Amino acid sequence: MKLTDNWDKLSAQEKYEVRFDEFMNPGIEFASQEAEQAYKQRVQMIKDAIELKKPERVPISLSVGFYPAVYAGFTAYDMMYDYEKLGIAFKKFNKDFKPDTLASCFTLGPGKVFEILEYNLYQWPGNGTADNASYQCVEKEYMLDSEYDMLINDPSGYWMRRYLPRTFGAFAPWQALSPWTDLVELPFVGASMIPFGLPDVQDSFKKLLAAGEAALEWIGAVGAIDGEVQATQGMPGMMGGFAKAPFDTLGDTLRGTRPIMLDMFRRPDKLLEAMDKLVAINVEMGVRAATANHNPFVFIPLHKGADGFLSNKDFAKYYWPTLKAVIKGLVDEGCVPFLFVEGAYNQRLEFLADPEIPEGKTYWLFDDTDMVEAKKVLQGRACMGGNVSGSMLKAGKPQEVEDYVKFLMENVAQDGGFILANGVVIEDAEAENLHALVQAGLKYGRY
Amino acid sequence: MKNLSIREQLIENVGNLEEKAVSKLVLKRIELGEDPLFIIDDCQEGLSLVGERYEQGEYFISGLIMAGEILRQVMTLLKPELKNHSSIHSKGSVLLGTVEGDIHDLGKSILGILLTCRGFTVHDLGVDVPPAVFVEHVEQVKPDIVGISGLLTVSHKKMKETIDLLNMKSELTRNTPVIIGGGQTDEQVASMVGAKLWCNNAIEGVNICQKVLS
Repeated sequence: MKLTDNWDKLSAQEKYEVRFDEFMNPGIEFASQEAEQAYKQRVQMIKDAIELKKPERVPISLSVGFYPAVYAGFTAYDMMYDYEKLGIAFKKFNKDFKPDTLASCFTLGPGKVFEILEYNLYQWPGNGTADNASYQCVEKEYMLDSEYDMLINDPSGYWMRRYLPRTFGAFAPWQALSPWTDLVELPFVGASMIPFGLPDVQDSFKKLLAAGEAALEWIGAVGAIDGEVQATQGMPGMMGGFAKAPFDTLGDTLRGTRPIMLDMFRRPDKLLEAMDKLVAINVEMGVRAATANHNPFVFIPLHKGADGFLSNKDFAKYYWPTLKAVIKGLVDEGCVPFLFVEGAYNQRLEFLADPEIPEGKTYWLFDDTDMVEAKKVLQGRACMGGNVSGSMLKAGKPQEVEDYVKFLMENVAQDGGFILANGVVIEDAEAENLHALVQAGLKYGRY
Repeated sequence: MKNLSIREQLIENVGNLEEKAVSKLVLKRIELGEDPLFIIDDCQEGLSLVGERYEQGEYFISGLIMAGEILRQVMTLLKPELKNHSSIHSKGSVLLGTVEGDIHDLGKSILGILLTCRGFTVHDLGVDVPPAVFVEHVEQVKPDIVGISGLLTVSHKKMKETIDLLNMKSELTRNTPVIIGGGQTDEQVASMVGAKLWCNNAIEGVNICQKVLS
């Protein structure tokens, strides 16, 4: 899918402008002129911040996980299984707190789909974790150390015949499938179809069809909820697509933390080769969704490169080059990489000043990084936001929150290129503290 | 002299995270008929180099994970030799676990490796540990310290429940010092859950454990 007929001839800057033009004019039927005006005003504030200008006011963005459920008196289980309650909770949250960006209910996901597929990479409320707890990843060595070449030679085939059978019970029979690349000439087609006749494979595809139906039901509900909030409140979303740092694709998803750390000692060349393979896959994934959603932001949560995991020397060798390639690949396609630095990057700040990353085309959201130090490095280079802490929002007092927001506005936001945001995703908080965050943003955030 | 040289080599190779060289040296010393406890002592000395280098910012979590792997391999090699030895010198014991409802493992495991580097015996209950299981193991293992880990903000409630239950159950459980830890832990969280000791990184955790037992 291309956004314009001449897409391939456009420069990265022209693509960026096309994407923001679509973002600014989303084809939403707004409920009122005020809502439409608020939407456009907010997109402009965000665009100005990304471009390192001083917007009319510092945009306020809250990244929430299951907190809207807590706030509305529901459970996390309700959010994953009861779309009516999901709608009540997220509409209420957005209406009551009025951040400048949509708190979308998309990322909580459909429990029913995961259940049908017997997803075992995660535990979620109703399936391993308590009804009021968030979903959590069950990290294991899903890709074996002996399988690097299989991944490198054919990533999609590896996913289909090794990774998915291990992480989804419903896909376990797919180990028996032949690679699609076998289908080259008439004599081989018949043989390739044999596994599809096996009862367990057929059963697996029935589950896949059922999951597809359940996913359509879910996205219908999610689209209606987010759509209504956008139409009535005029809030743009900030998550057009999703990508990962290749080191994290391997470290979070395939190999796991302990194995990938050992791989740096034991098989560094294979690790580097596999990560190179994953660059184009991550760029394509992010661009495709950003295009489909008419939203330039591609969210990239950063995990295993945080302070403490690796030395800067190893970060420079293993983590940064392929992350940088993903960032550049997305920027080349006119997207805005939205990098969420979970944990801290106090040791890594020098990398963020990499001259190969175009200025004013990325957004760095910090969790526990020193914001003043980060600003020194990103000044004139990239938009940044964060790091009002989860513990302050839960255990602190409104005055403390206000004071901290004031500090950020005076010491980090003063030259533009800043978005006021919390750090770690909010699963639990005191409402008065969240209100204090937003109110302080409005009070101190004018330029 | 030759023996001393092998010892030095083992200490140095553990410190340098050279897993293949460590295995070779350990096997060689087993062949020479050395007391496995001496071999462990030397590995311990090598591990304390790892701990020092971690604290000095030379090594990172990747190095600690490799150190843990080297230790695991050494213990596997020495297991058959250790049958006749009942006790290994320990500076104290720490019972660790991640609270019920939370399956984050890494911070707790890093603390466990660092504590091992510092000569502590670590009993790791794993993740998603209900309050009653903490209490039960405190009574069984009688650790010097209990470490309760949790990364999620929703884990704070379970930390409180666990601490409340420890305080209620018996004199032993009430008197065993508790340290809570996790990336989101701070003074406010500690006071909210009723913990006197807290840490949000593993080095602090080790320092606190050392202070408690000094």
